[in-house]
Amino acid sequence: MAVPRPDQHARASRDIAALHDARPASVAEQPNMRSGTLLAVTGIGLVAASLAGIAVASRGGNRPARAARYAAWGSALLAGSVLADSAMEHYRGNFRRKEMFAAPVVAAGTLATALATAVTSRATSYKAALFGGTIATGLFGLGFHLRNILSRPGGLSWNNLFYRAPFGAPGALALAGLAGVGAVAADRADRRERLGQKGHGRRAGYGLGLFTAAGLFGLTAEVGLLHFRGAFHDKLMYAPILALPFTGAAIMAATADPQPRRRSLARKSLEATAGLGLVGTGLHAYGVSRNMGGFANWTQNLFQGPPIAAPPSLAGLALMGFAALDLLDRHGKDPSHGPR
Amino acid sequence: MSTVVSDAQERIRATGGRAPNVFRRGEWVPMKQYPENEAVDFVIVGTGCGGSVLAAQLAEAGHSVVAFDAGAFYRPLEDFASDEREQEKLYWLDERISGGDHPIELGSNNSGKAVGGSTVHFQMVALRFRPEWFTSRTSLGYGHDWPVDWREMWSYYAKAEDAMKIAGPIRYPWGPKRGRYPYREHELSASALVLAKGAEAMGVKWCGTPTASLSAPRGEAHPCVYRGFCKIGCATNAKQSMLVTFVSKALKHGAEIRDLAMVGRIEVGPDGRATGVHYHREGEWRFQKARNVVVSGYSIETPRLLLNSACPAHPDGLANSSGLVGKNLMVHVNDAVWGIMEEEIRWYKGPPSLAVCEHWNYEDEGKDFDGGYAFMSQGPLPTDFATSLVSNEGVFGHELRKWMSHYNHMAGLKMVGETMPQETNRVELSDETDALGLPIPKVSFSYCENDRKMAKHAERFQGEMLRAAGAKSLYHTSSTAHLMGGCRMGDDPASSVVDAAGRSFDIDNLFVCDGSLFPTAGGVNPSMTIVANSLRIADRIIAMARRGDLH
Repeated sequence: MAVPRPDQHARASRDIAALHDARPASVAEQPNMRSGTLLAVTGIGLVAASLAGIAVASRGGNRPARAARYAAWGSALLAGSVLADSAMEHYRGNFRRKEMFAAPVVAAGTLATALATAVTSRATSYKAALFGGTIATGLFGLGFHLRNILSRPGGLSWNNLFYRAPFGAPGALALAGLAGVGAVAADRADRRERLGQKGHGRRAGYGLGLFTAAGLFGLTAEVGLLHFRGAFHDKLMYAPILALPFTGAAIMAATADPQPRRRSLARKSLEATAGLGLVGTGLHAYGVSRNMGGFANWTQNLFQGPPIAAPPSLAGLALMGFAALDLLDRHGKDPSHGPR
Repeated sequence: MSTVVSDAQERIRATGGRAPNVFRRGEWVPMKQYPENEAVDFVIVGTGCGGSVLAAQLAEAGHSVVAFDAGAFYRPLEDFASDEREQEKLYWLDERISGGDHPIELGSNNSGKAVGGSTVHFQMVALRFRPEWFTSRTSLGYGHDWPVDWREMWSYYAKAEDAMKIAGPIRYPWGPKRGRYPYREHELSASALVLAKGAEAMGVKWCGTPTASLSAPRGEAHPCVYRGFCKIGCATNAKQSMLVTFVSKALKHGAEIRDLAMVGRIEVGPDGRATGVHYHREGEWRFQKARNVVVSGYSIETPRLLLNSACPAHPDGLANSSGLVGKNLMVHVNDAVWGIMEEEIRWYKGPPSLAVCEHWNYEDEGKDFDGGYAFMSQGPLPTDFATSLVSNEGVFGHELRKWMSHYNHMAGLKMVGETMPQETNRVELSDETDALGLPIPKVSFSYCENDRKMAKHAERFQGEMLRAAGAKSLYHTSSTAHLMGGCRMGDDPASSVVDAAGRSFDIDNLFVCDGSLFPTAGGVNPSMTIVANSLRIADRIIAMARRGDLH
């Protein structure tokens, strides 16, 4: 059986002793904030950003066009989702890099700007610049996340795609920025159309429609990857990966050739997608409850997932799509005024 | 010194028409019960990878089944503690005599005493045999051929993996293409990344270990929380042990489980056929009549029961006309190399063996030995690790404390190496008896030259990989794990104990179904092979019954 080998023992002991003296300092692995505190801070951030946005609005200005309002609310929903999700996930990653603070901070700023955009037409250039910053942050985030994935043994492996920084997540921040830019553009286009400059509404609708479709396809990949990681253990997990690309195709079709039937199909599928976002939030909450300890152990299980903050982004994208459809309704083929 | 208030070991729980509900604290599920004086279709001795699988499948096919286990019927959620000493209750620590040149340490690494068998505390490594191993004599020139085609076995592996919702990698880098594992692989732990880093530095393939722990919810079982106490019993039910899979299924289909019931002898009638079993429960010996008896007690208890059931018609023990009952006992060489990493590893987190390298199972060039070995990343709990330090390195006191202070920076690679079947490695009955008056088994084990060469090869290779990953102050420990063989299955009554259906060549209503059937050990953890083989045997028995070939 296990027989000690004296020679080896002596050698190893010497090495150990040497190493013992130069023992590496332990890394601070545990977050220095309690999860309860983090969630409170995140909640306060959401409320503060919303209040800031509304404060800007309370100082007057015109009410933006309906398409702009849709897109702005979409941007706000996406930004709120990113704020909650990134605050939690980056906290889970101990904010190991300073850059990790960027996501929740920029998301909060975007949320405030988006809410301001939804209620007033003032300061559009500043807003557009801020949303541009959001897009840039999202794109940088994609780079950081990709680097994080590639830095681990296995590189671009399934394991790293499943468990390292989620590749698609910063894309949601970029989408929030795009929806914001879209909102500003829609408002401007609406004003020009009213001044009789034709074509601007059509172009803005076209842009918003394409961004929505791109977002839906991107989200399909992200949801598909993560639901695949969950082995589609619940058949309902197939719903978004069937619904999102269909909606994406429908909005693409309506954008490319905005005839009434296509617009109507796109609207219906967007409504279904928005509904799925709400249902999904509930289902993710149910998923959290299935972890050991359920909601009684919420400080662990909210992090364990599935992320409750993720599905609302579906509704955010749907709102962006509604904005596109509103513009296409009024400025595309066979214009109508859409449902009031 | 019990840290959990549990009466599972003192009082029978599966009685009064109900059995513990393993998914709920304090709750029960209904259980069918059978009278002792009416013969049931099948009595099954043992509820591990062999017995519980058979019980579930046979009950599902409509047979009346009573399955016995000497161990307790636990509810993991309430009966398991995060305490290594407390959880020793899951090991079979009854007295045994262990001899030979390299006596096996019997307990944690190779036995279980609980409903669900040793899967209640196994490390959940869910690997398949290499196809060639099923014909190792004809294809590779050592050991014995299995009486089963590898494709048949591989189709049953897929069924076993689905039944246990194995979390495995999308692409398995060795062997023929296999279907997708039902659940996705777990995130790699820091300890698994050490293997990955070393393997990539050496240009050797590696992958995430297929693991019998849930990576997503399944019914009432929670997904893994990476608590890391797997090896002493999973308290969240993420581990897909037999207790939460096939035992539950068996109960649902009308099988009866009798916990804390030690079967001591199989009764044989005047016609030389089995008529039932004598078992000890609640302080007395009782008898259960049966039309067929299946022994699923693993490599020591199965031969022990067969040998102890000797009678005038079968003076050398049951099913022993070949004289091979108890012989060709095999273990896995479980030697390891350990080292200290610069970075913090905290290897106790998560399932202990999340990365695997099967390179030397599939590569035949560059080996000076027969057979193969796999090795995995490690994550021993503190007591386990300190014990191995004391027994292997002889360190103690301040010295031991110093070594243990590196615990959070340690990493290790441990092999599962195939030993050769040898007739001299065997289980016999000793003259001594235990508290129930049953003869204590005597286990003899010695490594052969081939086994030692493999261990040397692995020590060198694992050391090289660990060093390539950046580990310093390497050292080596020896031990064994798992048991295989003792009741070899085969096609020839002269050279095997049972046939490919697990049926005795001597007594047509006596079956063996567990790890003791293995003709060769294979270089992978045996649990999935036992489950797959049991599913296969179940199908064969069900087919026999339909044909009218059964009693």
